[in-house]
Amino acid sequence: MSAARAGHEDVEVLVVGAGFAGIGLGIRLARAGRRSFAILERAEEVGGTWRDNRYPGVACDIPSHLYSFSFRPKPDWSRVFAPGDEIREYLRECVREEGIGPHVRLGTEALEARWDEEEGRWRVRTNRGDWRARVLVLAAGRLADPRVPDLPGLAAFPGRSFHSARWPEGASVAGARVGVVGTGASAVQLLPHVVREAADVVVFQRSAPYVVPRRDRVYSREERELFARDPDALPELRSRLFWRAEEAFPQRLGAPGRIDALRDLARSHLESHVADPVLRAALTPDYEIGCKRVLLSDDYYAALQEPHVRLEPSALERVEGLRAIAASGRAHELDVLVFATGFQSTRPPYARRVVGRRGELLSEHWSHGMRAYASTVVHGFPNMFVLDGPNASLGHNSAIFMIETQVEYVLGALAHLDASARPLEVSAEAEDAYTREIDAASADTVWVRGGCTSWYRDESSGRLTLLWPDFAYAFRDRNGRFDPSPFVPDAAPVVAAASG
Amino acid sequence: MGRVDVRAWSLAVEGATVRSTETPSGPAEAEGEARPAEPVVVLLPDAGMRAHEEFSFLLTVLGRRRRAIALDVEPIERAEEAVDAFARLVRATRGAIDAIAPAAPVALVGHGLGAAVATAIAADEGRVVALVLVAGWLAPSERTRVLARAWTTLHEEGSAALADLDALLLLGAPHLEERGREGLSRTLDVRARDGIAMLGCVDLRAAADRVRAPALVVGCARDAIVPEAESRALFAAIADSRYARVDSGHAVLAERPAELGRLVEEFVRCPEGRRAGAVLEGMRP
Ligand SMILES: Cc1cc2nc3c(=O)[nH]c(=O)nc-3n(C[C@H](O)[C@H](O)[C@H](O)COP(=O)(O)OP(=O)(O)OC[C@H]3O[C@@H](n4cnc5c(N)ncnc54)[C@H](O)[C@@H]3O)c2cc1C
Repeated sequence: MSAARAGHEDVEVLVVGAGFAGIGLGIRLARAGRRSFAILERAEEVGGTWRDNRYPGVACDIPSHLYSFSFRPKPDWSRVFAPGDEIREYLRECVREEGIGPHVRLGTEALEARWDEEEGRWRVRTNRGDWRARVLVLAAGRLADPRVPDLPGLAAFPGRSFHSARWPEGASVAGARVGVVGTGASAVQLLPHVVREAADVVVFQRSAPYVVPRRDRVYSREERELFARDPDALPELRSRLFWRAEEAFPQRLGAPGRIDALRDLARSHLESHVADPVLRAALTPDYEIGCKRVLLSDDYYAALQEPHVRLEPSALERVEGLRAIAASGRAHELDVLVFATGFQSTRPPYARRVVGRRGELLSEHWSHGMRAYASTVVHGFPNMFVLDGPNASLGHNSAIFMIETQVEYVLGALAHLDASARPLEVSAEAEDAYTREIDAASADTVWVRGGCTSWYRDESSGRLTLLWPDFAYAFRDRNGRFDPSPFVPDAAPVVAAASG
Repeated sequence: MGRVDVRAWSLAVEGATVRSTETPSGPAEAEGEARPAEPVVVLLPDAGMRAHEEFSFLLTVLGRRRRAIALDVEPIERAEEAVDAFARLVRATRGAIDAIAPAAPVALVGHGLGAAVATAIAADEGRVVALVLVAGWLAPSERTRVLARAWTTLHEEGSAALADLDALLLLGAPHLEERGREGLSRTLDVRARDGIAMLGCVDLRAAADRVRAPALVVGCARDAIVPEAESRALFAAIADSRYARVDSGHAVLAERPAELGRLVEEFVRCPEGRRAGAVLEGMRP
C-alpha cells in the first residue's frame, strides 16, 4: 500500500478523516483499482459523526435509504430514520466488506500538512510518523469538533458535564437533575430520552426551533425482503426520497405558498401539542422558518411538558457551584450539564494545520469564510481537495449525495493527474468567480434573509459558507465532473512522475 | 438571483378570459447585466388544473432566472364539439401570449392538455424557441377514447365515484400510498370535463409534423391517463426532439416537481444542449 522511505511513508493519495466522506472516497479508490492511498483517522474507530454522536436517541433525519452510499445500498435498514448505532455499524461494514481496512490508520492525527514546492508533494506530519503524498484529501468533517461555550464558572462545575457528541459510554442520568443546553437537532433527539430517566430537567433555550412531524416508522420484514430481492425496488425508492427532499428547496427561497405551507405545518404541530399559551409563545420562533435547520420530532413537545421538565427561555450564562444561571437571571441547581451546542462548523480546526504554496495557511485563505472552486479545490493549495467543506452541505437533502458528487470530482482529477506530471492548482479567478456566484445565489435565500444567526453562515463575514444555496441536483450538474480548464496552466514546475 | 415573488392578474383577450400568474423577469433586469435574450417561459396547464396551482413549483424554479408565466385560458363561449373547443382554446391561448409577451421569443411548457395546446401553437408559431411537452400525446388511442367516454359519463351523471377514480388515474401508486392526494389540484368542473373530452379526440399528427422548434418530450412511466407509449410516439413524431422519462403518474407536477424542474430548466437554458433524437438518462441519486 505504501512505501516507507527515509522516515516517511509515501502514497499517491492521502485522505484525512474516516467518516462518510473518507470512507466513501476510499471505497471508490479501491474499486477503481488504486492501491496507493491511506486514510488517517485520529480516533480509534472509523465512522466520524456516527462514531462520536452516541447520545440516547441519536438518529439521522434524512431517510436512511438516501442517507447511505448509492454504491452500497443496505436493503435491511430497520426504519426510515435509522438510529445512530445502525449507521455506525453500516460504516464499519463498508470498511470491512470493501477491504479498505488495511488503508485506514487509526489513532493517527494529521498535525500539519505542508505543500513541498520542489517535490510537488504534500508532507504530512502526524502523531505516528510522517507521510508524503502527491494528493491530499481533507475529509475531516464539518461537524467533527464540538463547540462548548466558554462560560464563567463552568470549569469548576462539581457535577458532570459533557457535549452531546462526547456522551460518555453507558452514562446514565437516572435520578439526576439535568440541564440540557441548546435546542438544536441533537437536543431535540436526546431530550425525550433524558426526560424519561432524569428526576428533573431544565432546557436552556436561546432561540426556539421550528419542529415538524418526523413520520418515522419501521420497515416490515416483507419490505426489507423486497428491497433485497428486487433490484429495481431500492433505486426507485431512493429516487423517490431524493426528489421528494428536493421539493423543500423552494421553501428556502421563500417561495410564496411553499414556505407558508411549511410554516403552517410547524405551527399546527406546535399548537396541537402545546395547549398552554405561555409555553406556546415561548416555543414560537422569532425568525423565518428554514433559516436554521428545521427539526423533526414527534416527542419533543411532549417531553417538554412532563411535570419534572422546565423550559428556561434564555441562554445559559454562567455557573456557580451546582447552580446554572441563565441570561434571565434565574438559577437552576443541577447535577449534570449536557451541551447540545453544536460544532465548530464555519471555522474548521483542520484549516489551521494546512500550509499551501507561499506558506499560506488555509485558515488565512479562509479568513473571510471558507471558499473553494467547485466547493472542492482551493487556489494556492495544489493537488488538494476538500470534501464536505465550503458550500457543500444542505439543509434539505442528504449529505451523502453531496459527498458522492465530490468523490466523483476527485476521481476525475486523479485520472487527469495520471496523465500529467503538473500539480493541479485552481486559478484565483475561477475561485473568485465561483464565490461570487455562491454569494449571489445566497442573497435571496432564507438563510441570509430569514432574520436568524445560524451555523450555516460565517460569523465574521456573514457569508453563507457552509451551505450550497441551490437544489442538490444543481450541485451535481455543476460540480460532479472534473474539468481541467479553471486550473492554472503553468504555475507549477514539472516534476518527476509519481513514486508510490 | 431573481426574486421569486409572484403576481397574478386577469385580462380579456378576444373570446376568452385569461388569468396570468408570473414571476418578474429574473436577474437580467434586476441586476442590469447584459445577458443573451432569455425566452419568456409560458406554462400551460392540464385539463381542469389551475395554472398557478399546478405550476407553483415550476414558476419558482424557472422564475429564478427569467420571466415565467402560468396561463389559465378560458374561452367564453363553449363549443359543442371537443375538436372545435380545442381549436378555440389554442386560438385564445395564442392571443393571450401575444398580449402578454408580444414579439418575445417564448418557451412553451405544457402538461397533458396543455402539451396538446403547446404542440398546436408551436406548429405555426415561429417565435417558439423551445417546447416542453409533459405527458402529452400524439393521437388518441383506443384506451384514451374509452377513458374520456367513461370519465365524461360519470361527470354527467354526477357520480360520487369520479373524484376517487380521477385520483387513481392521476397519481402513481407509490405516491398515493406514501403521500395520499398531496399536491393534487384538479377541479372536477365543466372545464375539466371539456378537457378530458379533448383527450379522446384531438389528433396532433399533422401539427407535430410541422413543429420546427427544439422539443423536450417528457413521458411518465406510471401515467394512467396518457400512457407513456403515447408520449413516446410524440417524441418520435417531432423532428428536433429529445425524450426523458420520469417515474411518476400523470400528475408529475404533484409527484416529481423537482425532477421535472431540473429537466425543464436545463432544456430552456440550452435547448440544443442534447442532440435531437436523444433519450436522456435520469439522475441516479
Ligand atoms: C447528530 C448528527 C446527525 C446528523 N444527521 C444528518 C442527516 O440526517 N443527514 C445529513 O445529511 N447529515 C447529517 N449530519 C451531518 C453529518 O456530519 C454528515 O452527514 C456526515 O456524517 C459528514 O461526514 P464527513 O466524513 O464529512 O465528516 P465526519 O463524519 O465528521 O468525519 C470526519 C472524520 O475526520 C476525523 N478527523 C478530523 N480531523 C482530523 C485530523 N486532523 N486527523 C485525522 N482525522 C481527523 C474525525 O475524527 C472524523 O472521524 C448529522 C450530523 C450530526 C452531528
